[in-house]
Amino acid sequence: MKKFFGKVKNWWKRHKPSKRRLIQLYAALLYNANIKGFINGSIYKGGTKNMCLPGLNCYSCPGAVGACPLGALQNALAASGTRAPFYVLGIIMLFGLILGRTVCGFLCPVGLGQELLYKIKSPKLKKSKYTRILSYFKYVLLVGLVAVIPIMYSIVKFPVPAFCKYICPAGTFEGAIGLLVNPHNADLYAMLGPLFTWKFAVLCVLSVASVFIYRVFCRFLCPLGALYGLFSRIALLGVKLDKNKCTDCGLCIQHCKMDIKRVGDHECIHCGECIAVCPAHAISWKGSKFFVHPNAEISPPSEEKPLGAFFAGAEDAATPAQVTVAPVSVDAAVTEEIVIAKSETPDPDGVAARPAKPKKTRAFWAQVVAWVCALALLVSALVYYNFIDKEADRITSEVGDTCYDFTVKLYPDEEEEFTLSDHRGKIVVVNFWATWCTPCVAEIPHFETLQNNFADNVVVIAIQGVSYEPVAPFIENKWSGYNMLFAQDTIENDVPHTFKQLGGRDTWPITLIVDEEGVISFTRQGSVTYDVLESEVLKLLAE
Amino acid sequence: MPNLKDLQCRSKAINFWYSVFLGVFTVVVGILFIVQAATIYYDGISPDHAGDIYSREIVGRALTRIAVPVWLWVAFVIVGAILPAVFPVEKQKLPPYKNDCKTLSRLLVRVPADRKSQLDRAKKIRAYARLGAAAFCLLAAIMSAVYLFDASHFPSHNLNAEILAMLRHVMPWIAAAFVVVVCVAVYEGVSIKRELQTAKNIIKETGGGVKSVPAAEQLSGFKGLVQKTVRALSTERARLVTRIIVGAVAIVFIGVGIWNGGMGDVFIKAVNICTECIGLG
Repeated sequence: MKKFFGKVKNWWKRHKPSKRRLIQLYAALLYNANIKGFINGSIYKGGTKNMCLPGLNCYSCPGAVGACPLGALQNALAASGTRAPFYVLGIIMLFGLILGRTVCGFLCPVGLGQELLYKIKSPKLKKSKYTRILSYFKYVLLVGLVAVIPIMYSIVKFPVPAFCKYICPAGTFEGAIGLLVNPHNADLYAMLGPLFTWKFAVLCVLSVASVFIYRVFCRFLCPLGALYGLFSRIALLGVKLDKNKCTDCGLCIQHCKMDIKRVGDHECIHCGECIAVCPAHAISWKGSKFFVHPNAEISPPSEEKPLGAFFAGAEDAATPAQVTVAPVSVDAAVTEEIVIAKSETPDPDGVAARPAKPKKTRAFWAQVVAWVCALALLVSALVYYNFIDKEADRITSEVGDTCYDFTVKLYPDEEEEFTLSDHRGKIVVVNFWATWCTPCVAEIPHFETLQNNFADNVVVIAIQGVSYEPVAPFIENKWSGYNMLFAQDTIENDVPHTFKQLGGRDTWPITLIVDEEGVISFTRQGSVTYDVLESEVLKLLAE
Repeated sequence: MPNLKDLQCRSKAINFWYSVFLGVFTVVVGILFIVQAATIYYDGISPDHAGDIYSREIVGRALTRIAVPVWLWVAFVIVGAILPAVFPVEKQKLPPYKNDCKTLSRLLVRVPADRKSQLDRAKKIRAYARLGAAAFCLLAAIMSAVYLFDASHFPSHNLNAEILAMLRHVMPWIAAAFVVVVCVAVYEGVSIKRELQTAKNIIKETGGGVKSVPAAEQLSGFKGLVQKTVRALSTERARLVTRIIVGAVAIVFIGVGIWNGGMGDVFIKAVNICTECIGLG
């Protein structure tokens, strides 16, 4: 029994979460502190979403309390015809300057997920000079999907955040699946189609690949990591190499699972695991002179019994196996871990001598204060988002309900008004759209075709929600000469009033068809095709 | 009594084969998920299917079909986590660090000057190969840019078709550039190994030569100017100045962004879900 508990104790010592892992978990929880969003199936709409979070965390995740920097950048570039994307660029520059790719190593939930998947026992694909070459592909994605495509489509006023739309696994997992698993969002399934199938397949491939390849997304695909990597030389936080002490032994590069050529380059995620393996103590944290005494980096080596002790009773147990001592308790993988032998000389006792515990220095108290502040921040965030920040009650609009009688101002002048009840006796097709919403903008021509084909019986009105650019010129530019009506919803506290009254929550676009008596006969979240619209209208006309 | 070495070998074998088994099983589970999604989609678009492609019930049925293998996989993952505790494995030492380039540059110092010509030739060929790869990458970038920066290719009539067309035009160039770079890397590796062997042979023949590393060469002219610039930019002072400039620009950008409404744009996008942007489409 004692032996069993001893084995469990040893296993825990080798596998207990490191400080870095705890910080990663903390960051993931802080980014998604709006836990009631998972319960209600809706996203957070409060003021903290003005701020971008440093790591990749989809803002469509029900728990997300901040904006995703990559999504925000793509949307800002997509709107660059209206407004230069200073805010997002400034935020990314600030994160890059202060944190650099420390974000990847400590503050990114997607990185955390990949590292946890990598712990699954399986053959591993080791890095090589070819993986180093392939790691430059993320710069291709950064330029192509994140920058050029949104900018080129902004010329035709068509917002396309291409990376979010076609690749980003965080959007699929946190956003799409995060919403779909909630029973309140059962109606979202109706909008799933080829795009979701493609993105789900991408998510599965990346998840499986993460089991075999360390941080496959971060190394080969993540444009955010590529951006932060550009700041590697000037970032304030992270690891640094003292070239005067470095003996060029290359152990740091061998031990590192990222495609680095030297510690702290643009591929380094500053996880700090190389600090322990450097025999010359040439690697340290930036700012360690001020915050951390260099010797405090080296914690007492974990006590490891020789392998022979596991097989007590075996004849050869008297000859202990070569002792390998991990200088610090690193976050060991479930698979075989490669540990540098601290010393070549055999230890007759079978256990490396433990040095004396370091005195509680300024570094220790700084760490205590930091942990207390961090915990206080997390607890206050959880309390605020889940108990204090009240979400308005959800309004639903379902087929068979009498439609809420709304009045909206018509474009281009916003002088004329449209009131639903004035159009009794006709079928009214109401579409809620926004200038920043790709599927919204793409489906407007379908509504115009419907209006033209059923001009006597149908009134089509497209109501714009909240936009970050002048809407009248947008409509004039894209749809001048259209016969359908365009209107602007009343905005109350940044929320479109009519959209909310008719059951709109977070997703765009939404389409409702109201029959001649003012009863809702069709609702759809997500884009619709002309065939669907036509069949619904023909159904109503046949009655 | 079991021999310690036998026990170690058995532990190693058990862990190895278990990791292979779990790796294969993981791939199978991933394929199962993809197949289920594809099946739902293709069944949904078939002419004899009525209603939406996806629904909660359809997805529930699909997940139920693969529930057994998925739960088995979870169980095997847990077993895999416990296995090293029951069958511990000898920790491997890292093999000695080999960097052929650095070894070669150290050996070249010891090669007599009169025997360096064939090694210099190999070095020149490698330099030309690298230059050729860089030129091809530049060509690929230009050809891709020519397509990407032509607004007529992005009229927004049919987004998916336009994106696919872009991929058809651009990806071959990108793929070709990576292939060329990988080929040059392979060639470099082979060439350096050959040169290493030649250098060792020459040193053996000539008896060693100079063992000390000469001081860094001070270049003159344009190369000297580049060398001085690189050194100046690498100093702490230059880094500090760059940090101050970047920090100031970032703060100014944020201020201007708040003033011109950029922060509001971020907010609008963050509190509304563009369904296709997260794969709901």
